[in-house]
Amino acid sequence: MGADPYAPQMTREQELDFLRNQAEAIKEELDQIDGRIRELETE
Amino acid sequence: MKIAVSATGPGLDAEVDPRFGRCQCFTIVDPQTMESEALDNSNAMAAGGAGISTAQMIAGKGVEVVLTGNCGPNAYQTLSAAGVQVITGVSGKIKDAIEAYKAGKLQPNAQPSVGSHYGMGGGMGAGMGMGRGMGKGRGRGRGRGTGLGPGPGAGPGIMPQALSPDQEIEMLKSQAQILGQQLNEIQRRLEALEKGR
Repeated sequence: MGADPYAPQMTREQELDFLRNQAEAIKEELDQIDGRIRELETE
Repeated sequence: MKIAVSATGPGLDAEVDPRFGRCQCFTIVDPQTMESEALDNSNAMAAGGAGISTAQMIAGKGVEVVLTGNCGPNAYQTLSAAGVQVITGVSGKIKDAIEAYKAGKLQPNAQPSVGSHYGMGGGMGAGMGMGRGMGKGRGRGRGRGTGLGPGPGAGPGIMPQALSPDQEIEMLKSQAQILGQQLNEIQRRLEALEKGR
């Protein structure tokens, strides 16, 4: 993976905020995936 | 012959990335010799048209077969027009996927496996705009949605007719594993940033 030369610089607070949001979004996606797997397994 | 596999990282031991247009990278493999070449996917963070651009890139590499988890209609049409066979529903390690293909266990799709914009997901906006910038200067702001909707069955994006329940479970587990790894990476970065207070 190469570095992205166009990635804008973030302040530390922006990065923290962004990463927290990302983590929340991933957790939600994982919950959805878990739910779907459970549905499929009980079908 | 060249086979392109959407990958979560370089090397034959990496996992198959369930996304085509926005996968991290591709591993191009000669199934006879098992020689491989890693190819960064510069379209992973593209604002739009990632599927088509990625398909053009892959077709330009002289690839004859694509193995991936899912492939949307734009990428599918572009690949098909270039004479590239598309096989979706593939998960697990790249080397195992290649072996399965060689053994005739994988069959080409007659249609795309997902709708448009699969793999963009909720993180797309922030991911594209800012990148995660996590460590080592690697821009990582790629979309990572699964296309799953909130209701029963597959939501926007997934057209499950191409997958049996077992295949879908396997694909979902693979996606969950990848997302789990991303989550761990984010949490490590968060901890590092928070310690730096």
